Amino acid sequence: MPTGSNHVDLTTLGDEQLVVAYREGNVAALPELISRYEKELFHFLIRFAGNRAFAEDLFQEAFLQVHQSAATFDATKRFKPWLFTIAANKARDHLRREKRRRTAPLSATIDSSGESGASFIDLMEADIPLPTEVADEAEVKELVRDIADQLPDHLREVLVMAYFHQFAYKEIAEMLSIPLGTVKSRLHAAVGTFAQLWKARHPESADKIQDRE
Amino acid sequence: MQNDMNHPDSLRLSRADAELIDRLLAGETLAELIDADEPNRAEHVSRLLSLLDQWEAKDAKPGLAQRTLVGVLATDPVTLSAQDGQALDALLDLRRQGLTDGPMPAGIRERVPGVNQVLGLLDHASDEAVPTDLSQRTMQAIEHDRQSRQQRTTLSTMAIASDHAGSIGIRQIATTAALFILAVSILLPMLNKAQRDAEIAQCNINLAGLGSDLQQVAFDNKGATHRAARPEDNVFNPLAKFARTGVDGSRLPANEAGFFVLLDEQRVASKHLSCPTGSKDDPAALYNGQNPAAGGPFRVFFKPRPIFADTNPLYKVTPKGLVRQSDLPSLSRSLNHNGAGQNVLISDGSVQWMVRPAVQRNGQASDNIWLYQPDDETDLTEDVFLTP
Repeated sequence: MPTGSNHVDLTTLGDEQLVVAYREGNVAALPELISRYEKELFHFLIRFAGNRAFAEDLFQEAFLQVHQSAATFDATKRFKPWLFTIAANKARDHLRREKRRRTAPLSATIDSSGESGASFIDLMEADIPLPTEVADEAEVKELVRDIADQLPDHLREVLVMAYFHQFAYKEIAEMLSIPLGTVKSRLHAAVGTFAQLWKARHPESADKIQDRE
Repeated sequence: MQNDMNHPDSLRLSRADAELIDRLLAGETLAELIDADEPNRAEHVSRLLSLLDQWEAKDAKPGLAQRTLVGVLATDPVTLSAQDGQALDALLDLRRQGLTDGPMPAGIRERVPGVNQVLGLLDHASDEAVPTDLSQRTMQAIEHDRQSRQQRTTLSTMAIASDHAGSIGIRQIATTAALFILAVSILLPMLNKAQRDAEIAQCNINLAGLGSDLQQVAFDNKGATHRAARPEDNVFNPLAKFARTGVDGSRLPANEAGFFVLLDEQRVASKHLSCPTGSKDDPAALYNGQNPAAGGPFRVFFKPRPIFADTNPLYKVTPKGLVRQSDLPSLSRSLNHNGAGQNVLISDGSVQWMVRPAVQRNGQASDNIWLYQPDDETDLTEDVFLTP
């Protein structure tokens, strides 16, 4: 691929313009895109894949896919959802390959749609133990990550996209090719399940809270 | 089942729950023990087991209860209440706008603290530092891919070029055509000459056969073959029917009339009168005969003389029939072989290739065999020369 003209100040271009510039031969456009999304995409992948090493690999795979598919990018649409869709697909494929779900035997016999809402949590009555009462900051971080990592993939990806990366529900629906209502129900289930898991991991904290009350 | 299983005092174990725990501790999985429509029982048992987990070391991996609950929640997640869900949606909407607080739908605001409490937990999952060389490694991977693609493209191009080298371009076609034309221009005359030589050879062989036939006739007739003319008054003479009427009204015996008798009696094979010419109109021209002995029988033991030769050029075979060549130049030779010469049967049975096989009479070309003379008055309708 030719180096193209680099006289354009790439920092002034939008993401979509950078993709167009890259596919037209300006190879410097891709590093600019990478630098813009380096932090955000890496964190997305860590939260999604639950592993730093995997996240690094997936990050490279995602941008490699951007490089290879730049010619097919629709410049009338936003680049960020496209990038995160690619990354999410890579992560999902990775998780499938790794079969990292520790509860796979259960999923084979119990409804795994995640949309049934057979039970729900009322957060006002949930007695969620506060982090300060659980452990120090480092431990909390580790616990939160551990619990988030235990969420079903289809819930975790919506939680990561909606909460950590603040994608609009509509964008998530497009990125995951699911109905808007499913995005909401999955997000609610993700938060509810996270809360439930957190509470289950720290019953002693709940007791403390109850004792104070 | 009790709602609060976190306190030992609230622990209630039914017989069924106790059996369940026994089997779980024995290594069976929850999925094998609980029906899919009993998620509450699974949660209940998990909470019971969580008491056991409290005995584990702080940094130990999640115990059986935790693992069991994770499995249950993974397959049957707990969702938020409707109000909490609305509060979550509203909070996330505010976050997307960069706000931490804002107007909330009626009846939702009181749910916000609970939701924020959970979101606050999530906030503890602070972002990890990005590897400093992640971008560099990514670009290296992309560059490696780019180079690999270029190499593949180059190889593909070379392969295509190689394929093109094996194909025929316009220049190659032109060159090949020129070489072909050159080759044809060289080979065609050679082929034509070979064809003419083959025709001449075949003509020679046939004429030699005719000579052999005549030799046999002469052997059977004390050296005499056929006679040319006979007096027309002999009505029993089979040659009389070949007589023609002269300009003075007299009946003249036809030249070579005796030869037709030999043909009629099959003493001479007709195929020996065939001369391949290569002509589409007249591919096998007949020979012309001449009896230099005039009216008497021709004897093979005479001084060898030409007795048969190629087709008389005076008549040309056309699709419409024979055409007399009125403008035929003087001394024209037979056209059987493009006027190059003629195979001539000599009375001794030999065949010679002659370019001017005229019968000499008194030292001059005279009655032709077959060298056309302008005063040749032979006419197909009157003469019976072996003209076609």
